[in-house]
Amino acid sequence: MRISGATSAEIEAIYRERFRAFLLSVTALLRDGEAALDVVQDGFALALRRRGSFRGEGNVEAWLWRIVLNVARDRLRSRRRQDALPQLETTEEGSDPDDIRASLLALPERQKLAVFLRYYADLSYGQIAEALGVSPGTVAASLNAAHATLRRDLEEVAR
Amino acid sequence: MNDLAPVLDELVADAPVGKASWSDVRARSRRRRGRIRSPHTGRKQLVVALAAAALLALAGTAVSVGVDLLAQQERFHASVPDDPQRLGTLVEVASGDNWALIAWKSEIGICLDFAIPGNSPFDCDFPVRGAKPATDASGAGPPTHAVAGFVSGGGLVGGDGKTTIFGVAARDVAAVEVELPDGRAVDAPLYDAPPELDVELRFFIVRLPLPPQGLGGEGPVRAYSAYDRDGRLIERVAD
Repeated sequence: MRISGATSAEIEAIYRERFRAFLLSVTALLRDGEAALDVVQDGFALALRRRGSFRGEGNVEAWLWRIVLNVARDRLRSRRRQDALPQLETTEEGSDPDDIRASLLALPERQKLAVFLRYYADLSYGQIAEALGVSPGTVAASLNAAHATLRRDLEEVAR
Repeated sequence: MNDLAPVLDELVADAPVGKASWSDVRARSRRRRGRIRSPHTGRKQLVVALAAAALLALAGTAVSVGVDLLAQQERFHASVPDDPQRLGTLVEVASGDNWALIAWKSEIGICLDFAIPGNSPFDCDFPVRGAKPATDASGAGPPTHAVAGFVSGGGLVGGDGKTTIFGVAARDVAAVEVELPDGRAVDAPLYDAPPELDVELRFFIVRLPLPPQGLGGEGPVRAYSAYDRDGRLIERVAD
């Protein structure tokens, strides 16, 4: 029985199986593939170092998502401080896919992350909730709100 | 979601999905776990330490070498601004022939410097009860382990070729055993935290003539085991 702590073998197994999911989700968040790779590598390295602080009642992959997403958020904050990140445009009325992309990127962070984790990582509502540290109900509400916003824009493109 | 698929796919078109590298993760983990503090002034520090040792020998004083290494560490800390912010004084926990184990409090918990003339590997991230703040940037929660260690390889500039294994144990730990990959178990002497540190922790350090480790292979420590005063195993932590 594990008292606490994740093993390096567990972390490695998740890395090998889920690297693509982590990388795509973080790439979408940062909009920079190489920076996302750096974040994923750093996030797993951090997890490896801090594997003793994982508390055994949770899910190791969800714990890894929290760490990697925190590293990604730190990277985003750092970029914003340096004014190197293009400011996200607020949604504008329009009729081409670029507008949908802008709408997607302009979603509130939790909605955006819920969409990314659902699409790129194929996580369930419960897994997304664990990864984001919110309730499954909040995840459902976030996804519904995101879909409502994006559906409206898709309909406008279709018109 | 299917309607969005083209947009979502386009968003990650530049993701380097073929660049997965677990060995890179492990290397980053080792790099961040403990940093070698050997600033560009290292040669100067070595000269200073050697000169001080020569002076002490000539004077025939009984002052321990650890005192000089404490002064060296003060200079190192002043010259390396990207260390975690120090919150207290440097406190010597143990010392020997040309080495000292020095503890300090930082914004991210207890840190340990293994100081040798002109060099100083250190680590701050011991996931041991009482050694770190309850929460940190990873959101991983408070540390729960009874023991954690750090390994400094034998190839250090300024070192004597021995591998040094040092770390932190919770206050209720009465003995620490270091398990090597070949199955040998080595008792690591425990030291109480000096009162100046104002922490309820214990520290250990053991120095061994181990063969150098190859890249990507098994590390020099397989596990740390912590025992209580009755000899009962509190926890075995795989490294």
